[in-house]
Order: sequence, then structure tokens, then C-alpha cells
Amino acid sequence: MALLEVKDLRTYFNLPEGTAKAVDGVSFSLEKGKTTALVGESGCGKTLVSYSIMGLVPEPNGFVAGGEIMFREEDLLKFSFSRMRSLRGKTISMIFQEPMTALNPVFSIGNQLIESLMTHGTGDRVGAKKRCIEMLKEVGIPGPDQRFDEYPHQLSGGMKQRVMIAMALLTNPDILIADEPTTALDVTIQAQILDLLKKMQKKYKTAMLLITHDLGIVSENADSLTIMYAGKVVEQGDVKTVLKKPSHPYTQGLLRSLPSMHSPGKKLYSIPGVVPQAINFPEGCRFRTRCIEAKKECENEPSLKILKNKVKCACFFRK
Amino acid sequence: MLEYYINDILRSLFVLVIIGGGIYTVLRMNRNRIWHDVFRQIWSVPIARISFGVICLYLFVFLLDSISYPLFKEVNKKHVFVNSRTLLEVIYTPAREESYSAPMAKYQFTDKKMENKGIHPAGTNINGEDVLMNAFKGIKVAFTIGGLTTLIILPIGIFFGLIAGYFGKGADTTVTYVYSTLACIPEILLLIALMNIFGNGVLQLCIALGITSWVGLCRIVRGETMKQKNMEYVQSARALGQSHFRIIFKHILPNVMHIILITSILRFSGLVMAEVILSYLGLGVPPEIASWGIMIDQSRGELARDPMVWWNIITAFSFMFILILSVNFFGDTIRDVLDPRTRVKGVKA
Amino acid sequence: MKTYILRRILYALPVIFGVMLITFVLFFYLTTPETIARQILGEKAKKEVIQSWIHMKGLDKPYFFNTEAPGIRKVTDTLFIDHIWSLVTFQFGNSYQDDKPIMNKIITRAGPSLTFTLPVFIMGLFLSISFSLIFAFFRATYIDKYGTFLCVLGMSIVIMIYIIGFQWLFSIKLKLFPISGWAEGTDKVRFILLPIFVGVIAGLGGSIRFYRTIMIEETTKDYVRTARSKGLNESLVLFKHILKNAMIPILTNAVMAIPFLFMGALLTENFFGIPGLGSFAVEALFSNDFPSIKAVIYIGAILYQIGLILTDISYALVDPRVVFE
Repeated sequence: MALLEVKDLRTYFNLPEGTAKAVDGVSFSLEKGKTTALVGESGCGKTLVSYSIMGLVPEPNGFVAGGEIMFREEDLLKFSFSRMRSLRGKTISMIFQEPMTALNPVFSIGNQLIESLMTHGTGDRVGAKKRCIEMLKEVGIPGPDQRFDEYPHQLSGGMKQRVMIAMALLTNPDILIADEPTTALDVTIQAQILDLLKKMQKKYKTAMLLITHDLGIVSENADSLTIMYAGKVVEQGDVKTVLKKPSHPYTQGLLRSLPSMHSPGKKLYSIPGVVPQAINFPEGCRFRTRCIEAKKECENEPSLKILKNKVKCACFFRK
Repeated sequence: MLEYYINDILRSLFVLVIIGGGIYTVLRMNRNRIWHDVFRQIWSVPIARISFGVICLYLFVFLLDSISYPLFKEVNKKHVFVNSRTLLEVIYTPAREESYSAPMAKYQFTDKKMENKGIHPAGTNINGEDVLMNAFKGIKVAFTIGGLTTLIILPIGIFFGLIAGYFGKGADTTVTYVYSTLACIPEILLLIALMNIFGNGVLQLCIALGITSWVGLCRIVRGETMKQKNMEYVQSARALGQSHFRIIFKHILPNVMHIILITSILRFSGLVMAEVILSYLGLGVPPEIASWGIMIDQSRGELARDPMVWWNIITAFSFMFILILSVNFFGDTIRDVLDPRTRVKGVKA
Repeated sequence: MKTYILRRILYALPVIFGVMLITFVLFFYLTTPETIARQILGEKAKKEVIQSWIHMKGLDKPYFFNTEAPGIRKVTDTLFIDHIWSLVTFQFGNSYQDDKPIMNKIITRAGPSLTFTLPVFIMGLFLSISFSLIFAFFRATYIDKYGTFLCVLGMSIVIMIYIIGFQWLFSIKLKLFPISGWAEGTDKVRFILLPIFVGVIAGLGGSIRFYRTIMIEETTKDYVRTARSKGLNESLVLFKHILKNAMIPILTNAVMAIPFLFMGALLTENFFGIPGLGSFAVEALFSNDFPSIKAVIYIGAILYQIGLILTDISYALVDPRVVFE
């Protein structure tokens, strides 16, 4: 039984030009202690999926138009505003892409950490402070006692992301959403942060939704994988199977565009064109405008079907 | 005699050229894809459309009041210049009364020879002048002051702002020194002092307002230029060996243009208001020119009269309020479209 | 911090000197002592009278270089040095209007100005912050929409209309307050209420809209999203996270205005007959009392510089990111 199950999620945006179907029928599930990766180019709607789970879809233009997000046999989308809020930060936590701006510059780190504990009514201030310092130590921040009273600008980017991780895990959540947690960091720091996330996940048995565009990170950290293109899932399955033998033309393109250790000196492949704007996604298969295999029948909408290798794929030409 | 014609033609031409130039610039900008998009977005806001219509209406009256021809009187078989007659006066020629008359009053002291027997829709003032006509005339003063002052400020503010922001160091120190010294003097006091020295007059007022208000524009342009200077496109232009002159005017200027546009439109209403305040202090336009400031100033004691004389101030105020409101709304829309910071929007997904 | 303030004062000195230079040019280069004398004594005054007046005021000296004076006085006994010296030592001399010391006048006039500007400042700040918070809380709803619409309406009315309109309504029609005037002691409350009301109302539209823009800008920041993701309730997000960030520019902006409270408000004081510094400036202007105008401008400039320094200090006090170098 999955811990969290997203079924046919649709999140739309009302824009002056019309309705943008930024997330249009996305399904996947999270399991306890496992990592699910959500992969796609920027603009494919993967961040919006995480906002939908958190109940943070930007208002007033964005809204969830349909689908279910089942958590412990209840639909999160049907939760009242205040009930959703009591879940947020306690049962479901989130880490953001930009550690530089994600922390409030005018409050001390300790203040922002304690706030999270106090809101969810876990104990007194003294106990909360103790817990925060412990957590800071656990995420590998040297001198947590002094750091507790420092302000975000006094920390480096990597340190800030560690604080964000500490903040997210303080309340021992069931689900952790990590939205491109390492994109804004240096390569050397990236590995440290990912290792830390892995370690913490193992320790707290958290289910993690890892949102990224980096297939390298996915192969090392995730258990299952969902690949999104233009608001739709194009391929879904076990990480090893998908990455070893990708089925969908888009996944194949993504993998071919990764630099390889085995064939140095070869010109790198790139998928032609860019992700279309959410306001004018093409009819039918949304990838057909960039797909090298596109044919007439791609103007019809492909459905997600299970292939022989148990991978789900949305393409007419895969069996 | 010819010189009077030339004088009037030149004046009319000047206004036509300025307005034509403005229209031409907008049309040229409309050909650019980005600006075309901006204009389209502005046009999609209803309040901007209404404001634009109102501003055009005012501009039309301004134009009518700016195109003039000389009027001569035959004295002893010689043509003697009487005054310049504007198109507005041709269309609307109210009679002059002896003193106050209420709104909708019929012409009473009409010159026998004058055929038109009409009414004063907004009454007359203490001197018997038609209030509506004065309000119409006030449009010309407002646009002249707003427009001419903007024409004075723009080159100074933009040039020094760009130079200071782009070159930094000595140039920046000098420019900031000059404008922080000017900014240090309370604006209204400096205006008063300048007007005291220059004397009353529309041109003098424009120069005085220009001296005090180029500072704001310059400061904004400087700040924005400093931001743009460190952008990649400037760095790459420099790496390609382009001259400073070319980088400043070809690359940076178009990128600070939107801020210049917003600032000057929103400043326009401030300038119109400044005229009113200075006219009250007796330092604005000369009292014989009909301006809204002078009308409001005249009406100070009128409200305490019995029966109350309210039409002078109400007319002047309405004309002024509608113009300033339209300019503010229009400027606001432009700013909302051009400056993404003020837009109410959610997190980008 | 002490060295920082000292350095800021040193930076301010050249600017103050620039102001001295500007006032000198304005009053001596652009107008001659003779025109000043004629304006004071009247157009028909005899030449000898004018000459003796100019001599008495010491305005017959050369601008920069006195060839007739001996030694060092060649440079010091000039209009320019007199001008600078009078400003530096705050010896503004006597007013042309009634021959009384200008400095005393300024000091006595600052009191009435403060009794009017201080309440306007405090109430205005309180009201505009409260309203902008409300609009930010209800952003993108009808409350916000119509609220900002009203603000633009309020901004588009020139202050004289507010003054004349409220004077007419409260004094002529309702006869609640005297139209204008001044009294000493507690009696002044009668006179001061209407100007304060007008002052607050006239400034409200612009400042609410300005503060609202600052707050709305803060609501789009990433830290707001983080705060929400922690499950904080909306009012904690607004009143703790957003407010403290928005208060930095708002408060420092307000600190800038504090020194100017002494200067009063030119128009309002004049209309309501408040004997403050603002109406002093207008009186000086109408009677061509150049030394008084000069003194007011100079003091205004100094207050402006003090305002700048106070702003910098308050930034460093409220924003942890700013430290004194």
C-alpha cells in the first residue's frame, strides 16, 4: 500500500491568454522509506505537482482542476485550509531549490527553526531549542549552538540548504518533497547534500519525492522514476529498468543527451526545440513537435500503457 | 503684419511637431515586437483605455487652443494687431460679463454687434470671464508646463544618469554631488527662490520645475544603469570591443527606457499639481493667463460669500482632477505591465 | 559605529557647502543688492536711501575679492565670506521685515510647526501602515482593488483642494472649528485639529499605495513560500515574516522625514494661520526677506543631511544584513 498516491492530478492556470494546463493528468505514488523521482525539463510542471501536494498552488490564478491525492486513505485535495495547514510542515515537508532566498533574511536561523516546532505544538520553547540544535548537529552544521543565533546571510549556500533540511525534518515528517535541492549549489556540495538527504531518509524512514532534471542524481538516489513532459507523464517505472532501457522517445533523448564516460569525444546529442509554453501545448502527444519518430497518428492522445518490461509508457510505437 | 503671422505659425508648428513626434515615436515603438506586446497588454486593461481616451480628449482641446492666427483691427486704414485667436476661441466664443453670473446664465452684457446669444455653462468669475473657457485655457497651461518641463528634464536626467551609472568613479561622484546638493534643499523652497528670481511666466516656471525635478529622474536612471552595467549583454558588448558611447546609447538606454517612461508619466501629474501650488503663492504663471491654479486661488474667498460662489473652484478642480486621475491610472497600468515587481502574481511554477 | 557616523558627517560637509554656494549664487549673482534694496524700500526710494541701506547691511562689498581692504581682509572682507561665515556660525543676522534676530524667530517658530507636524506624522504613519497591511492581507480581492482605487483618487487631488474643501465643510458649513488662527496654551487644540486632519488625509493615499507595493513585493519572496510550507497560518506569515521585511524600507523612509517635521508644512500652515516655520518661509518670501529665506534653506539642508544619517543608522539597527563598515 502506497503512503501517498497521486491520481490523475490536474493543476491549471488562468492566464489572460486562456487556461494553461500546466499539470494535466499526472499519477504516481510514494512509498515509506523509498524515493520517487520526478524528472523533466524546466517548465514541464514538476514543481507545480509538489505545490499541489502541499496545497500551495499560487492563488488566485492557479487551481487544482481535478484528480486525487490520497494520503492514508484520505484525499488531501478535499482537506479544509486549516487541516491542510496542520499537515504542512508536520507530516509533509518541503525543501526548495534556492537556499539563498528560501530563508527569511531578518530572522535568526533558530527563530525560524523553532517556529516550525511551536506551530505544530510540539513541546515548550526550551525543549524545542534543544531539539533544533540537535537537528542542526545531525545535518552536519559545525558549532550548532552559535549557528542557532546567526542570520541566514552569515551562512554559505550549502550550509543554508542543510538548515533547510534540518527545518524540514524537525517534525519527523512522513513525506519529504525535495524540489531540485542541489541545483543552486556547487558540484562538490551537491554530493554532500544528496548523501545527507539519503542518510536522513534512511534514519527517519521518510518517503521522498525527489524533483530534479538531473538523471545522474536519479540513478544514484531514487527507487522509482516518473518522467514528465509538458504537464503529462510520458514514462514511469523502476529506476534501473527505465534508465537501462528507456522506452519513450523523450526519455531516450534525455539519456542520449547525457555526457558518457564510455564514448569520449563524441558530439553530444540534444533534443531539438524547446518545451512549448503551457498556454499552447500541442494537441495529441505533446512531445510530437520535437519527436524524431512523430507520425500522423501522434495527433491523437496516447495513453499510459504497461509495456512488456513492466514500465508504463505513453507512446503509440512502444509495445 | 507678416511677423505676427510667422509668430503664430511657428508657435502652432512647434506644438504640432511635438505631438506629431510623440505619435510617431509610439507608432515606431509599436513595430518592435516587445513594445507591441506591451501596448497590447496596456490596451487590454479597461481603465487604461478609458484614461487614454480622456487624455486624448484633453490633448485635442490643447491642440485647438495651440493653433492660432493673428487678429487685426483697422484703425485709420492701418492694420493694428489685436491678439492671437486660437481655434478654440473660434469654436467657443462666450461673451464677457461685468461680474459673477451663475452657471447656465444667459449672456447679458453681450456686445450689440455679436449675434450669438448663448449661455455660460459654468458661470462667470469676478471679472466676468466665462469659467468654462478659463478651464479650457487651463488645459493649455497644464500641458505646456507638464510637457515643456518634461522636455527639459528628459535629456538632462537621462544623460547624467547614464554617464554617472555607467562610468562610475569621478563622473558618478560629480553627478551625485550635484544632485544630492540640490535634493538637500527643500523642493518647494528652491522653487520659490527660483521663481522669485526668474519672475512670473510659463517658461520661467518650466525652467524652475526642470531644475528641481531632473534630480529624481537622474537618480533612477543612474541606479538602473548601474544594475544593467553588470548584466551579461553589456559585458559581451564590451568584450566585442564596442565603444562606450555605443554601449550606453545602443544597449543600455533601451533597457532603462521603460523606467524613464514610467517616471515621466507619473511625474507629469506632479508637475500639473506644482503649478497650482505655485500659482497660489503668486509665483506661477502670470495672473492674466487663465490657469487652474489661478482659478483655485481666486476662489479661496468665494466659498465664504453669500450666496456662495462655488462654480469657479468646482470647474477648475474637476478639469484638473479628471486629467491627473487619468494620467495616474494610465501611468499605473504602464508600470504594472512594465515593472513586474508591482504585479500581484504567484510563485512561478 | 562612532567612526561610521563621523565619516557620514564628513561626507555631508561638502554637500552643505554646496548649498551655501547655491544660496549665494541665487541671492547675489542672480539679483543685485540694489534690486533687493529696491524691493525692500520700494521702487520710489531715493538713491541715497538705497545706498545707505546697502551699506548698512554690508551688501556693498565685492563678491569675492576686496581690492580696497588691506592684507588678508582682501579675501575675507567680501560678500562671499560674509555669507559663508554667517551660515557656518548660525549668525543669520536680523530679518528685513522687523529687524529682529532670525535665529530667535526660527526657534520660536519651530514649536507651532511641531505641534502640527508631529501628530500628522505619527497618525499618518500608523494609518498608512495599517491600511497597507489590510490591503496586502486581502491582496487581489475586491477590498484591495477598491482600496487602491480610492488611494489613487486621493492622490490625484491637489492639497489645496483638501484644505479649501475641509475648511469650507468644517468651518463655514458645520462651524465646528475656526477657519484659521492660533492661540497659546490648551486653547490651540481648537485651531490645530482641522489642520492635522487635513494633513493626515491629504498624505494618506500616496503613502498607503507606496507601502502596499512594498508589502506586495515581499509576498512574492521565496521565504514566504518556505514559511507557508512549514504550516504557519496566514496571519503569522503576514504579521511576522512579511511585516518585518517590509518595515525595513518603510521605517527608514519614515526616519528620513523626522528632521523635516521641524520645517513644518508650507501650504497648510499658511492656509490655517499656524505661526510655524513653513509660514515663516512664505512670509519671508513675500517680503523679500532674503536672509530669512537663506537661513530656512540652510537649516532645511542640514536637517536633510541629519535625516540621511539617521536613515543609515536605522537601517543598520533593523536589518541584520547591514553592518557598519
